[in-house]
Amino acid sequence: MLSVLLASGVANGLLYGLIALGVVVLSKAANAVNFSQGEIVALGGFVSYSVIVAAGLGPAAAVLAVLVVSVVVGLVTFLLLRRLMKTEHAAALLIATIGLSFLIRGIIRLIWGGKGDYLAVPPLVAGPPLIAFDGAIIVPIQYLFMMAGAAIMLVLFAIFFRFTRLGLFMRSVADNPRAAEIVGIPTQVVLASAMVLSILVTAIAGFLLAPATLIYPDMGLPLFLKGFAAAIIGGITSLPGAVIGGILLGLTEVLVSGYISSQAQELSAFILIFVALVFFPRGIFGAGKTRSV
Amino acid sequence: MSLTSNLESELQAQYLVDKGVKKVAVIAQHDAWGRDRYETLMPALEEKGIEVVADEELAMESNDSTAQVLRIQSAAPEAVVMLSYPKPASIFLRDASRLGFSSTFVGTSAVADPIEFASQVNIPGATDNFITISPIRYPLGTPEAEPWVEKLTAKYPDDIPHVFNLFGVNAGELTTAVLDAAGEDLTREGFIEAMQAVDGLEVSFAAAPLNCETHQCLRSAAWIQASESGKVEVVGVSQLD
Repeated sequence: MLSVLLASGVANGLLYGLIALGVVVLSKAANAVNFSQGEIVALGGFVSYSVIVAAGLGPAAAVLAVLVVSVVVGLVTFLLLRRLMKTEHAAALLIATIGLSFLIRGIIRLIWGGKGDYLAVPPLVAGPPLIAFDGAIIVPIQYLFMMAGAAIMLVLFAIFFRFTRLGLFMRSVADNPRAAEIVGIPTQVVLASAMVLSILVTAIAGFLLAPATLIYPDMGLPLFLKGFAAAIIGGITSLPGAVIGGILLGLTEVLVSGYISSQAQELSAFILIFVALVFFPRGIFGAGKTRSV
Repeated sequence: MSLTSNLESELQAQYLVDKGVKKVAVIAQHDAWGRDRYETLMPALEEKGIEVVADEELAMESNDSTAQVLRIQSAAPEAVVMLSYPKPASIFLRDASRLGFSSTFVGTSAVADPIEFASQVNIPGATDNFITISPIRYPLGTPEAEPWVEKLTAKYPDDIPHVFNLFGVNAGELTTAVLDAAGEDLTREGFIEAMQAVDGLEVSFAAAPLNCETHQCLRSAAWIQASESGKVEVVGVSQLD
């Protein structure tokens, strides 16, 4: 039982981590939170549904479609919100992204509505669970797929930020936007990239999640709250923290539900957030507040 | 004419008794709808001497039910009663299939169409042991339902017939029978008296004749399942004394 619970917790946690990563990328680059990210998860799931179920194509085509849609939505979102992506417009940006979340939900209903209350994407990998050590470890194959997909995204993200020019620009803007502008870093390009990346990683979470659950237009908000919570737990500016926060959240949910009570499943996530913030007000990996004198 | 929560719970317990089930697991969504069912099912099971070996919650917004499946699996019930809407029920059956857990899964009238439900679950074999309760014995697609579907589509050509459309036929037939019995000099008291006198009234879709001795004339239900040929088939009938 423990191995299955751990696999489930890590798999779901990594998906929360991907959503959290989207939160952190935007937060670091633009000091902004996009409240429509939950709807982006749903969008990723619905695009996957169209490609895999409606068009009968494979997962690779679904990933490609999700990437294309993410880039388009990311650029459109940036163009819509760019004037508000300044510290002095933080409240306006927040409201705008909430409005955007309703807009995306409405578009999802327009395109995919009327096909039933919920839509299901079949498992992308079928087969018996992986069994090791004479049955001491049992991991359903779908969880392995989810974990592998999320891990690939995390590695690509790490490589991007560490070794690419644009990744370095984004880190520079995050560290000191004014200085970055002075030395000629194109901040608008960096902000657009951050928005696109944030939406892309979130939509991929939707692609990975869709075969494990059901998709419906209103599915986004609870997922966004968990992703946002994971980002807060890890430290809103820490990329590794987002992932670890997500895994902690996923494990807490499933272990509490498995060993204490399933009635405490939803509650446990928020108790974890509360406890984490009491002991780590800036998140586990959040930078401490410093002041130069 | 539909099933109230207490009637549905009693019929679920009756079905389990009829099948000789002694140990069940219950998985419920604990919102207002779910609690209504839960609070009537538990006493009904106790009254029939059925032991609840696992009592789990699956919230509407949950995307994963691994823990619930494992807890129920380890309790080894003979059947699982699922007090949930189609969405959590689908998630539970998808995870049960993924984890290799099989049992008899008993649904509520909220999952009214097992074919549609199987397409929502969308994993081959995952709903093979799923049955659900219905206030009608002839689902859509049966020859008995066909005349009513034709009437419906003739009157409302743009509507897609749904199983819920057939629920009203019993009530309509009951009403006309009572009006006939009440006679031309119709009064409120006369109508009530005629209604209370209904006993053993055969109507088109009820699983057993109607008896209005109590305020619930419908005291029976059919158990339906998606067949291998992709049609809804009745696999049993439960009736209360």
